[in-house]
Amino acid sequence: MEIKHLSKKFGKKQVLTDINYTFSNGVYGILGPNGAGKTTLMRCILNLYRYQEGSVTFSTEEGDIRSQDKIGYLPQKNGIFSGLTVEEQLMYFANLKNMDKSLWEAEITRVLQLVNLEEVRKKKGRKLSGGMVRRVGIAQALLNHPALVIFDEPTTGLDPEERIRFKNILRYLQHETIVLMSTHIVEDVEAVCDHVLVLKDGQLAAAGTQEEISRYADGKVYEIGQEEYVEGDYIEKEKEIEGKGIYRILTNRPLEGRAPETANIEDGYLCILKNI
Amino acid sequence: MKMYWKLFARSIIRKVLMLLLIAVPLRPLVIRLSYVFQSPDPIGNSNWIIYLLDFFRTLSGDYIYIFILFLFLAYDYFREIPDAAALEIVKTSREERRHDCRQALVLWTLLFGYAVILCSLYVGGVMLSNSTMHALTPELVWYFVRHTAVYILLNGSIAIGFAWLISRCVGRLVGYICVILFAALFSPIALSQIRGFFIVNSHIYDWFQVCFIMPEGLTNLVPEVLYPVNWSIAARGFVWIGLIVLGLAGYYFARTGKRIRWAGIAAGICCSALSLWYAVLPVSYYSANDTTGERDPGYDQFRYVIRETPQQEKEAAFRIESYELTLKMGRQMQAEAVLHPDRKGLECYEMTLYHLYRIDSVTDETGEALAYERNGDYLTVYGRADGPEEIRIRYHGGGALFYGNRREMNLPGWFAYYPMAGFHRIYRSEEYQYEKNYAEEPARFHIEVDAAGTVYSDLERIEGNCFEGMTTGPTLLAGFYREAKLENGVTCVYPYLETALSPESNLFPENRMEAMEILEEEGLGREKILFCYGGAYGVPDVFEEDRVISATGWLVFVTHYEREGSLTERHEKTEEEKFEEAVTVVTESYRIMRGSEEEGIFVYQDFENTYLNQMEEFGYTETDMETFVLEYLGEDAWNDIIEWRKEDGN
Repeated sequence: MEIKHLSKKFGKKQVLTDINYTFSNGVYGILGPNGAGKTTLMRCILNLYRYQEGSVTFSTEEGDIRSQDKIGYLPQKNGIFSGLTVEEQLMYFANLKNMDKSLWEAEITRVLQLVNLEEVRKKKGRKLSGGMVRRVGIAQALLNHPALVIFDEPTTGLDPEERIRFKNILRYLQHETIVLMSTHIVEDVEAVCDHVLVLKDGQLAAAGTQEEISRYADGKVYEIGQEEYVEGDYIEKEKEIEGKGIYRILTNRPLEGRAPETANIEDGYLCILKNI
Repeated sequence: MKMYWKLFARSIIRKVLMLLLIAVPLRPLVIRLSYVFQSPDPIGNSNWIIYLLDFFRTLSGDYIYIFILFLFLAYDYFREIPDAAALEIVKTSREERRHDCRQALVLWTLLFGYAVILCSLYVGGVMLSNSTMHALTPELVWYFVRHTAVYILLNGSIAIGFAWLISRCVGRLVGYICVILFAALFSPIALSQIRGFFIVNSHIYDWFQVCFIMPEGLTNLVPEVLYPVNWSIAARGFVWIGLIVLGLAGYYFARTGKRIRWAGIAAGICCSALSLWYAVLPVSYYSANDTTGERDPGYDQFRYVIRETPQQEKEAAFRIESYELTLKMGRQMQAEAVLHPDRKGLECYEMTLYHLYRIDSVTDETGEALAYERNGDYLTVYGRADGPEEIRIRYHGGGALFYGNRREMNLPGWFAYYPMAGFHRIYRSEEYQYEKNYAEEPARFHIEVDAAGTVYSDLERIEGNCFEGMTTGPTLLAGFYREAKLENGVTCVYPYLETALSPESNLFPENRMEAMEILEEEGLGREKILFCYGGAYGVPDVFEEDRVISATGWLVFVTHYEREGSLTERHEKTEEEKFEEAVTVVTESYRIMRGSEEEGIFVYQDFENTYLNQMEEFGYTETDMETFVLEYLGEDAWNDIIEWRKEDGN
């Protein structure tokens, strides 16, 4: 998938500015603060929004994935048809994806196994818990072996066990699918994403592998005592060791005699956001 | 499609709405059937058509329930997708439009099925009854189909379309508010209010009529005419369909920017604009819900009695020897009248032509324009020294009560739908009645009518709807009319939905025989009788001409003859005669109420009103009612009346 010079305005407000990126199979995490343009970018990719400039092209060896209904999407909030059973819901979406009817049964079984919902297959929507509803949402996105899957805040509402299961699903998908996942939870990105895109004020501020993003914070992460804090340091975390307050900070000032901590993706992400 | 049906069926709200949809038409049907089969009165069984018509009218009046229930049903069904937060997923699919269309198709199939069942109920009801089988004509079936098409299918489609659009464009709560407002806007009650509000400015009201997609003001409609469905009502439906298409095209193609978006938007705009233009054009139908001001059937009372519009009476200085009338029936009557006056060279030719006909041109035999002046119901054509030999008048328009359209006509010969020599009053204000204007001497008429169905006239039919003959005023009828030969050979043209008039009906046979004897006595036995709609708005009960008598039946015909001693003359009534007439009205109303008493509600009140209206003039009060009833109707009748009073809760 290739995004070229993508720009989007809402009225006079510029929401996305000249986004360029090429995606290949793998899991991509889209990070950014609220209002950075994450959801707008995904909606532009999905053609839910009309954009003023640029293009989004999809191509596989088989051709355009749009015309093959090979796109899976899980919106930020997904619900359920309260009167239909889990199986019927998935039939509904399989129908929407123009799947051959003879394949429905096997495909529904496959995705239900992936999200661990086989035992509630015949249960009506109104009887499912919030986490189950989210998993049905994930299952519908995976129908028809999509070439592109877009998850908007996918782990919201999942318990820790299901989070792990979801991450496993992503690992399973990463070799054959482009997975785009927007999230606020950096740990989720850290756990499963091969690549990270950081959006800031509608612009692609940084993109690369986890290591590449982490490198933005190389030599800028320190753990200091509270008394060493200087205005301008960005406090990332606060902890207490033996009754003494310790800050994990991001800073550009040199701290003599101190070795910087190993930077992780969160550090890199924050350095990009805070221009450190 | 199975999945969409499943989705539709799995909802408690929709199940309840469907049950309501089925229950509403069944209720009046059950009541009527139980009444017909349990009625001890023989009239009950032989008067099936009245009950069926009544049932049909109830349904027609309630078409709004179909509209409202489908509106909510459709909204609830279309909301299923956004409520399940699946709208975004649906939108990402290439199937989005097809998917939504399938939802609409489910609803439209239901609507179609419902319409077919209701239509079959009407037709089946007529077929099943021995006494009304004869009334099942292609015109009647077509009428039912037209009603079904407009009031159920077209308006139901508006409901579905609106719900579809709203469910996709706004949130649940705002959507419900929109749906409720939309339903309220089209309810006959709201329309009456709007009508009252805008009556002061009929121009605004004309444009506001686009909301009038339902029958409004049901009280003035009569069974013979039923509810007229005309193209302007259908056009209002298309205005809304156009607007909805416009909205949906905007919604679906906003993201794609394809040419098809513009095609959809252009189609929506064209459909709305054309329909809007058509919907607000004045029409010549008799239709209480389609008219305002001068096009209202009751407006002539207002015009001549309340507003006291001056009327003139002036004997003509000429006589029209022959007429050639070419009438093209449509939304309005397009007419060309070629008149041959007996005198040439008059300074002016004064004529009467009902004011709702607009003059297009007046020419002489060479095609040269003649000067003319139009003043209300009067037309003055200025002649010239050497002519004209003929006056050719082109005009168009139509009345509300005496109307003509492609399929239905009610144009009595005494009504100035064609130019009549001299100035005549149209309305007799003091008696709240139309004036019957006939020429003093018969003229030769040649009439060609371009209409969809069979037209009936007192003149001889040459071929098709072409008539010729001598008359003092030609009558034209079309619609639910039929021709039959009576026992004495008299040809009778009657509205077949009115069983009291039907020679095939067994109602009042003694009155019919008596009427025929009267016709024989009067030397009118070989004439043709045309019944045309009388009823409300001061149309005379009995037309003082042997050809046309009232639609109120043979009984009135006989009563009139007995009272007047003649079919053709009317004399000033004495006080005694007036008293007798009032007593007859009250006693007849008792008999009619006894025969047609339904569920016992308000019968007493109706009777009391009739009694007071008629008898107060002669000094009778409410307390004298018992004395009056015992004297003129007997003890049994009084017992009936006491019973009615109890049922009315008095």
